[in-house]
Amino acid sequence: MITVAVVEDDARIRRTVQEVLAKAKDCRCVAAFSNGSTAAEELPALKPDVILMDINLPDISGVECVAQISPQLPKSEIIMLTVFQDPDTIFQALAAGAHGYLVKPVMPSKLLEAIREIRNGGVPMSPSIARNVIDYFRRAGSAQAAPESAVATPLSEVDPEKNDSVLGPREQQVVEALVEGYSYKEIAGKLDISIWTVATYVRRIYEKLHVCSRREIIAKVSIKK
Amino acid sequence: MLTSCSVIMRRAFLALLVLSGRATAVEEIQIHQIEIDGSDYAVPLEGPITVVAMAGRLRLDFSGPVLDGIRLRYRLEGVDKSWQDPPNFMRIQIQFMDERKDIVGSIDFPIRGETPGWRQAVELSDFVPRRESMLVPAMSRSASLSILSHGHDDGVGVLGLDRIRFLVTPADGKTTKEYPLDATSGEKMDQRQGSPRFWYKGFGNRAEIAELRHRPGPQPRPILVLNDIDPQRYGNWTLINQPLPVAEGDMVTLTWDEAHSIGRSGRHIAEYTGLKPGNYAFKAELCAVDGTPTGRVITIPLVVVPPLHQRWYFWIGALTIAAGLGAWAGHAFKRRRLMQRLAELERVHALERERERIARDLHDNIGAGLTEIAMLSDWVYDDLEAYQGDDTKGRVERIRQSAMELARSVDEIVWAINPANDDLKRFANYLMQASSQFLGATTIRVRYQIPQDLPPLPISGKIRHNLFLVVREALNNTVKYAQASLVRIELDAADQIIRLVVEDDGVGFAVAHTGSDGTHEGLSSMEQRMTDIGGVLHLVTLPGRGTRIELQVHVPPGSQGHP
Repeated sequence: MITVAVVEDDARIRRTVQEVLAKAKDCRCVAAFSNGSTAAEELPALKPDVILMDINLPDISGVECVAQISPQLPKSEIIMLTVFQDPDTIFQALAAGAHGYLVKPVMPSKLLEAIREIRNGGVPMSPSIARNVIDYFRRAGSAQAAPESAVATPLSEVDPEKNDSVLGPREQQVVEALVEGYSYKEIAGKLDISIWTVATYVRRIYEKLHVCSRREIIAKVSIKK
Repeated sequence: MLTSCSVIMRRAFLALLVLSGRATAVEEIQIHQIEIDGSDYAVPLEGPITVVAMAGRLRLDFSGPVLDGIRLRYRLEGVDKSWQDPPNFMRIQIQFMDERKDIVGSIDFPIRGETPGWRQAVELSDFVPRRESMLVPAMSRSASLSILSHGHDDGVGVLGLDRIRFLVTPADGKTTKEYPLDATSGEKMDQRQGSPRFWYKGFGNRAEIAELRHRPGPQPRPILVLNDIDPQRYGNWTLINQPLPVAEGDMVTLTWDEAHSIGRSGRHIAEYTGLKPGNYAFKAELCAVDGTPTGRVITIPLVVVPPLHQRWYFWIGALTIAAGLGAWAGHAFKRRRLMQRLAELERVHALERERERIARDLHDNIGAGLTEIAMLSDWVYDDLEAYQGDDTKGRVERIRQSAMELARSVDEIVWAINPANDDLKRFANYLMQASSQFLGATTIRVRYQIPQDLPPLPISGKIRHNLFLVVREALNNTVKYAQASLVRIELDAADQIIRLVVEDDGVGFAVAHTGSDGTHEGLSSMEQRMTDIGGVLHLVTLPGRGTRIELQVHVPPGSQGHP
């Protein structure tokens, strides 16, 4: 049984999502919240398997809510729901700790499919998100190579295995192919690896993104202080 | 001549704003900053100050003391019809608990502003009915209710609740159980600090904010009141020893009558845009938490003077001499044009905010509603799967299709209106996102050729929207008619020219036959869209050779029209 929590301010959509989950045999809606701050307080104790999170919430944004809860919920998968096809905001949410997103109107069957898929380790990455990922790691990489010593470490010498700010060569290949529009299956063929390995690379890219952006948030907070 | 003209035109857009008069000195109210179009102005409490600026945006940062019993209001006379409250809210909260009493869900119903018929004393005010519903989440065994005065920092105000009913309707919808939750009996019920049965005030961090009052009548009715005089602490009424049993799938409905006036103390920023020439007065007032005026008011007179009269006359005069024309008609005409231009620029800021507001409203209301319709009709369609050959299925499918397409159009309009997207990079992101999602539902593969480093180029909502709709139409045609297996989308820009290519490897068609068989009827509308934005469309296709559509549009610098 997959336990699911819903954070959605629109009562109509929240109700429909709850009903969809109630009908599914393998899912159980354990909590529903109409605002981000209550959700951020209550969710860590509930530890649901999957959290469906609206991006536009009335108090704190869905992105902020994800940033608050995701470090406390390493085992929960967060799927963003958005009426708005706004790739920049979606990317922020993914960087903050979400693993996927669905653009509304989400058909009930698609919603359940996405929940099941993410529980089975499948993480999607659209071309526009991949594009943002490349931009992000370029900035992160150059920001890291620049300061401290006058002699900057060339990017090529940074060991990607030990460094979260840099994508490994295979990860880079995967993300570049995604930007061009290749599907996981096509990438598997192109790089001669299994489709599961492609999914693993994508998951690792997301993890690096989370670690990296969390560090960025911490850095920002300590600068403020 | 042309250059000097444009310089003068730009200057004429500047408006002269004069802050004058003597501000009434009320010690407790402080104006920290006046900002006009991004520039700061010191605020002397005595003597007039003169400011030359574009009166596009006025921003006042002010505060009152954070003390018990004090609330801060403001208004700009000439704009605001009544006193304005900085935003704050109180709320009613339903919490759902499982059998171990752990919280498994909660919902807040915020209460804001002032109810019509507010008469300072809450018990004498008009009460307004309200009704809210929610589906009970899984694992819930019981529900509880709280009324909290805890909203924003520095929040104060008064809230009264009467006729509170909690209704539980099980999923079968047959029977509804009703729980009347008014404070009808208890100890010291005639006193404000009485203790009604079932309601507890100890959970707030200042208990006496929770009060009992009586609505007058032949039989005075006790009502629950939050009289929040404390900017820093809050009070609660929480339902205890009155279990409200619920089960997953039940529909719970809460109804109540409310009267309230809710505001804040402390510091606040008031903003105004697009002020027309005229006299204004900014006022900030300290009042009691229930809105009773105290007479402690600060006033700052503002005069927005029509822009640069003298320079216009000078310019018009100079132009007249230079051209050797002295006709009064000419003067009047030019001056009117300038006035129009000026008014237009004053509207630009207001317009941008308006665009943001429309985008938000469309998204919140229409987008969410259509989403619900689409989801529900999809579901009904699945339910009807068993009834084969039933026309109803086809009609439901049409509802679903229509709702989905409308939701998508709303999404596109929201995106096009929002000024934050007036940029090539964001256009590229959106184009990729929408097209990959659209083609993802088909068997057609897609390839993007879009450089990672696109030049930063501002594009107006009009150009973005039209370009996007042309691409969408092209993809529609590909999916419907082309029998293609691959689509290539190219986007690039150089020298302010955007180039977009959509190409498929499908069956193509003979251009001469366009339209006769009903296919590619969208072609002329695509051409029309490109013409509307001053762009061109090239179509290359032959039967069996795929279809290639190339779009080019020149984006003038600052084409979005807003500095």
